Amino acid sequence: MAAQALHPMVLDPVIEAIAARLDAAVKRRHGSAARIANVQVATLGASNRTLLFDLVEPGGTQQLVLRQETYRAPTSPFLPPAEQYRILQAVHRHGLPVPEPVFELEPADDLERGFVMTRIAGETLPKTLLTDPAYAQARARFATQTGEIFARLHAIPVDELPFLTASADSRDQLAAQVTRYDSYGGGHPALDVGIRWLERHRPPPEPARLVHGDYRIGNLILDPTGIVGVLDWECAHLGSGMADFGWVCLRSWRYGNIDRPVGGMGPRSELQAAYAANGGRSVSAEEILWWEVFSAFKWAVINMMQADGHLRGERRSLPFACCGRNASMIEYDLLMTILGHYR
Amino acid sequence: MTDTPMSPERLRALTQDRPDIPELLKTVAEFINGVAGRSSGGERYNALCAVFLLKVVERELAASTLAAQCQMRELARLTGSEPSVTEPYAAFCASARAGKLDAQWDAVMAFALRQVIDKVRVTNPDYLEPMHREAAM
Repeated sequence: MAAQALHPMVLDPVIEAIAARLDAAVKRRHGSAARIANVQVATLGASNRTLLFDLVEPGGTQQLVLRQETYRAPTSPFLPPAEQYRILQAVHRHGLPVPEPVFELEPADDLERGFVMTRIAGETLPKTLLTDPAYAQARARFATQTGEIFARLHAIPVDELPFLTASADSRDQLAAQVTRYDSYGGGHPALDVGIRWLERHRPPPEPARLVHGDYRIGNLILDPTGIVGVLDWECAHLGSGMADFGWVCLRSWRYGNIDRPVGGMGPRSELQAAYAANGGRSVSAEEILWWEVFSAFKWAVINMMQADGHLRGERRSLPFACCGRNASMIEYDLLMTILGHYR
Repeated sequence: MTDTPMSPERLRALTQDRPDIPELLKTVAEFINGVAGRSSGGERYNALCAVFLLKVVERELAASTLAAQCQMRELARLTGSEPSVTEPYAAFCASARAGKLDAQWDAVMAFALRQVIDKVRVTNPDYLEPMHREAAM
């Protein structure tokens, strides 16, 4: 979530220690001839640390990724790594473009909670994806490809992931976010007005689907041909598939390309058409509107959560301090969306 | 001492010495900008965040108290009681969420938007649509 991409950097002592334990972890599973090399910090996001490394064995080298949980709290909205791993296994089994899960961390690894997966080559940086001429074809295909991916994702039988039914987000997404909002202090006029609007305009219930929950540029790997990897499944839950539609169209994820609602790259019409053409149901712009307003509320609450972690001292961080103030911009988007802007 | 934040005028009156508060903020921001220019990766990102936060402080200190006064008057009108000094928005938020202000929904939306515009003017004024950049505070 809200991953802040950092450039690969010189390893600090913390990362050195993790790398040593990771080396032992791969030796336990792949034999004493195996070792790791080229360890890099890829991102330090809101809930995970991501390390890139090579698994070097006599038979060859594999490029892998370690995902470690960095935020664990009773109120955390993020799925624990073990559940993310099971989702990744299911989605991979159904042929969606995701990294292949390789192994889960165990207590003997002394690496906290997390897992290792394959590395998909490509780019995640929004600025590059949105401006580099090399990605022109990928940008042109983005909305259509997203519709295809959503249709396939939302067709996965939810009884393959029974543990998800227990999550607060699977029971009632709006109620789950309101509870979190209150736990961070509440009291933002725009958000309480937004809650009231959302309550008064709730769409009718529909069959539960597997929802990614954080599908947007930054959490997707693209190469010049298009989307090749969907990452970051920690917000997955069961519910209306329209949640994914609303989230990818949120103004924040358009990165300034306001007239291209789907990730700043394409129109909603292509997303809707590709969804229907690949087995998804017909979706109206009005349905997506409710979920865009809901997404703005959810994103504002996540920013409040980051500020809360900073203020409580659990996760002191300059970027998290910024999140607390950035919430105002998302509140602006929420109200402006209700008022008919950003369509 | 009171819990009420000091006005920019009061802050400026505490000392006649220079640099004053805006000048101090500018001085520190210049230094951190320099650090950002000489660093990379996480350190550069953190330095840019620090500069952003200093600019928020600068804008908040410069913000007109008129905006807050207008907000308090509108809150009193919408909710029918004077806003709490320590939590001025609490009554409005509770009433709006509970549906008690539905009958004046347009005014409720207008107030919420005005309050947010006032906040974004402090956080990042360039984010606002042109129609909200120059409107009266």
